[in-house]
Amino acid sequence: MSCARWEERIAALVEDGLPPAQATEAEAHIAQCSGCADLKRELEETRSVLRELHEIEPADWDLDAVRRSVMERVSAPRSKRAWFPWIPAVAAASAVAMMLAVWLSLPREAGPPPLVRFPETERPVQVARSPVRPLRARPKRARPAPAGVVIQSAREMAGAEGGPPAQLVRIRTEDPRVELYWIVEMEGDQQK
Amino acid sequence: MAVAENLELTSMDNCAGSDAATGFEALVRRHERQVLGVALRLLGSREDARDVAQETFLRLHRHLGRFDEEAGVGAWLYRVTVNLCRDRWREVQRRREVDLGGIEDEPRSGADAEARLIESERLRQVRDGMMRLGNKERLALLLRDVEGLSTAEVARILGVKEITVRVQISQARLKLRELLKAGSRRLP
Repeated sequence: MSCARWEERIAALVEDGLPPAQATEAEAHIAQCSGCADLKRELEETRSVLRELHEIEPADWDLDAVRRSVMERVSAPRSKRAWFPWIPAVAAASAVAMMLAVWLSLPREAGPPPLVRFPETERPVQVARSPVRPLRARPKRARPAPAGVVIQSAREMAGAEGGPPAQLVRIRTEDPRVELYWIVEMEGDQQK
Repeated sequence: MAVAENLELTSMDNCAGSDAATGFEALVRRHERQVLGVALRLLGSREDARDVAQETFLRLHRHLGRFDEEAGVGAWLYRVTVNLCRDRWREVQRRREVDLGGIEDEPRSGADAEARLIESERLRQVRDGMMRLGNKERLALLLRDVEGLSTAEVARILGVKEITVRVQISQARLKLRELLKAGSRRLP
């Protein structure tokens, strides 16, 4: 059984890593302690087994095989490396060009966009996100407005200076201090 | 002057030139025995060692521009080779396909079959033990005891002080000794 406290010092001794005084001290201890003598012998055996591994040398044909394989790998893929980065870019550009061509070939609608019928009601009604956009929005795809933006009232009023009748739309926003008023001229039963 | 410039390789894109390829091949020739030898000693399998050596040189090719001088290439190759050996050893352990000894494990003497088997098993245990050490300890022990470099050379390659190397090697030998003792107790 070796002395635990001597282990590291004996290992250092085997590695010639002890100052002369400590080395002498360690040698003196080993001379008296069979466990530590065994430890020193085992460490030296371990070192010699590791040195045996160094005797293993690669064969020349293995060296040739590795070198040949490496040189093939670093030389041959050159053409692939040159082309591979272009393939996704070319594919993406082609797809964009095709979509653009299809879009341009679609028939265009003639005349002005359809007008939006505005509800004639006193009840609060949710409208699209912006007070301006409903005039241009398509009624089919009207999205619900965010909470807090509602038409507070839509009151019919006479048109100015004999003009067409109009509706006064009061819009409440999320900020209680901000209210928007929107005059919508009516043409027949349609807003303008 | 950078290694890449010596080889007329300022970037990977220039590697296609025949001069650059020739230069890189010369670099491989200078270090192939070191790389393949380390892999073979650590893994004990020619096939695995060849794979590791090939991957090491391919990585070297990708990193050529990073070396200021060729002296750094050798140290870098040691580190990469040993790390790749460790990865390969783990794979082998996972697959439970440990090579119990190829022709490279055969002792040089004309020992009988039983002695050869024991020798082979002992080397396998040493390899397994080394792989179970910490990275720094394994590399230090490999360079010092297997490659036979001096402590000063090991310290230079690892970029640490000699005293650090001595401590690492001492610790590594103690651990390896314990691992070998544990392994020998498991033998029939």
